[in-house]
Amino acid sequence: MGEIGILTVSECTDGALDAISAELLGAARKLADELGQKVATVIIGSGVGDAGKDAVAYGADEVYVADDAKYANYQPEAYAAVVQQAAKDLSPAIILAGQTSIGRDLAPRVAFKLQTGLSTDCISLKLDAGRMIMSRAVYGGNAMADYVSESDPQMATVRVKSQEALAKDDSRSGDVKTIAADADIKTAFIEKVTEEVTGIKLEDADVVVCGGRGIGSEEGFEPLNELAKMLHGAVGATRPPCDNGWIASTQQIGLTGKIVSPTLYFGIALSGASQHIAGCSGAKNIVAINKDDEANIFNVAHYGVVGDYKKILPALIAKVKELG
Amino acid sequence: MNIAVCIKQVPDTEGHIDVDRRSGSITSPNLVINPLDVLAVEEAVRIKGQLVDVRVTVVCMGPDIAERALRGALSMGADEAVHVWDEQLVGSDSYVAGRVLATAIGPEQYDLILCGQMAADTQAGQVGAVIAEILEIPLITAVVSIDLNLQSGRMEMQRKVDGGKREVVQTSLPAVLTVESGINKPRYPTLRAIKDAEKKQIEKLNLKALDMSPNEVGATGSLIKVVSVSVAKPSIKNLFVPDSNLLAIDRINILMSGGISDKKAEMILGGLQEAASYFVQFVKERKLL
Repeated sequence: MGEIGILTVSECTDGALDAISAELLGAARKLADELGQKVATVIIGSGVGDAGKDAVAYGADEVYVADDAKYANYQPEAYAAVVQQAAKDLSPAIILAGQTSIGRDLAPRVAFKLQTGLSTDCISLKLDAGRMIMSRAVYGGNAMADYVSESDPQMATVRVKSQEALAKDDSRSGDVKTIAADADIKTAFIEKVTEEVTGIKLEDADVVVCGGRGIGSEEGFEPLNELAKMLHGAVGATRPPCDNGWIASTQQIGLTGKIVSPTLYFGIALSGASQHIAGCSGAKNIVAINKDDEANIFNVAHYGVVGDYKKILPALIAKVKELG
Repeated sequence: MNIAVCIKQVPDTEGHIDVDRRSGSITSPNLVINPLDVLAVEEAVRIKGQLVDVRVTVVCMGPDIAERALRGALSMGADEAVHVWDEQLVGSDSYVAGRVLATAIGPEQYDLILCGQMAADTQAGQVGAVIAEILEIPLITAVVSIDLNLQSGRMEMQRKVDGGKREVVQTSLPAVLTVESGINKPRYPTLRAIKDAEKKQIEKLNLKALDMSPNEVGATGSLIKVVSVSVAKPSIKNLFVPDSNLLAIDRINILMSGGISDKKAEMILGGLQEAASYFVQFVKERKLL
């Protein structure tokens, strides 16, 4: 085991590591083992001291914790300064962050400060002759591109759920240290507010019921709402229903909307345009209902029903009710 | 208040796109202003409508045809347009694009610099950050609403974050803001505005005018290199010769659909109850509920 090969940027919620942090460590571990190097991670937050040993259990050899009340909420300049400091101290070959609201804001800032290139939203990372090949979707998911950085450290943000975390192993050993950095603070965090959407958040929902142009009206979404409520899921939509005001634009799923990866996804009366698929292709099970048996959604669906959703949904709802 | 809006011309990713698998080059019959940049232009024009003495300048780096994008932004209500291009800029990555745009925008010229959160073609979302870092001014990303009641020169806005939340943040000006979908509904320019936009002067800037050297830009100046581009999910279609026994209309349909594509889905064509029962079985098999 030699020097630090990979530095990951961990994120926490309420003092505990987020899933993406474990996924990044899993990806980093694989790359580092191939390079014969170590994995370090930096954890920034308030009350995150205990997350350090979890990071070790998920694959980190060294953990650098910046635990301070000033990091309680994401503050871009302060967070960037800590990552920059860690990069300076450790000189890693590779830096990985999550393609999350923090990572996608943070990584470009850090990349510029380190005067290095960055590939965002990568779904696959591989080594080729010691350099990292970073694969990501381009052109609205119509194509995949492989990038390689010509500068160091090589930096990437990684799509949520695209990498596998290692099983948590509390017997693993690693060092947990503290890190600090001063920053020139330019912006102020005031508060966090919730979008005016009832029920479960689209991104958090395990079941998403999504309607398309074929829903036809605001009232048309009623059976979708009913199904979502029953399954403790959320209702989403493709762009046309949002543009037509049938549903709040905050519920749009797709390239220009939200990206969801629920366990169960219903695509109802939607054609499955690639812009929409870009937002739901992470779903583990896709159920499609469409009148048109040639609709593209059937090409990605695991279960398809051809017919009018107005007739099919009530039947499904009745059956699901029987299930209890 | 002076507002600069950075726009990019991109292939219409909502339309048909051809990817040349060997060269990785993309061809699209339709070039549009990047959808999120349209929202940035709209937001600038909206601010112009609500505050006094606002001038909106759109800046675009791109080949000659990108003039169409600038005219489009002018027709939406922007006052001035700056077109940056040089053959040497071909192959530039986000870092170079950001540097070029920051140089064109210049320090202390604008109070607000708006960009779309990311471009629909490269989907990188880095240019705004590069501009802010170079100009050493604050950057707020994923902005979904802007409060125009400035409090002692500070602007408050909401940015979209994960988990259906929004963060309220405050910044001094000048600042770079990248806008996210949902910030506004862009207007459709009137025919008259489109005609007027055709007549407007567009300022042209090349590398020399920006005082940048060819070494700093294009593939040479870039930090990231594209290794290859491939079609994301090639749809597998069987080559199909229509059976001459089929009705003419069926043969036409088959030819029009380009053959029969394989369906991955378990397709249910039967009655409602049947479909519902199969569904329950599917759900149970996969232990979904």
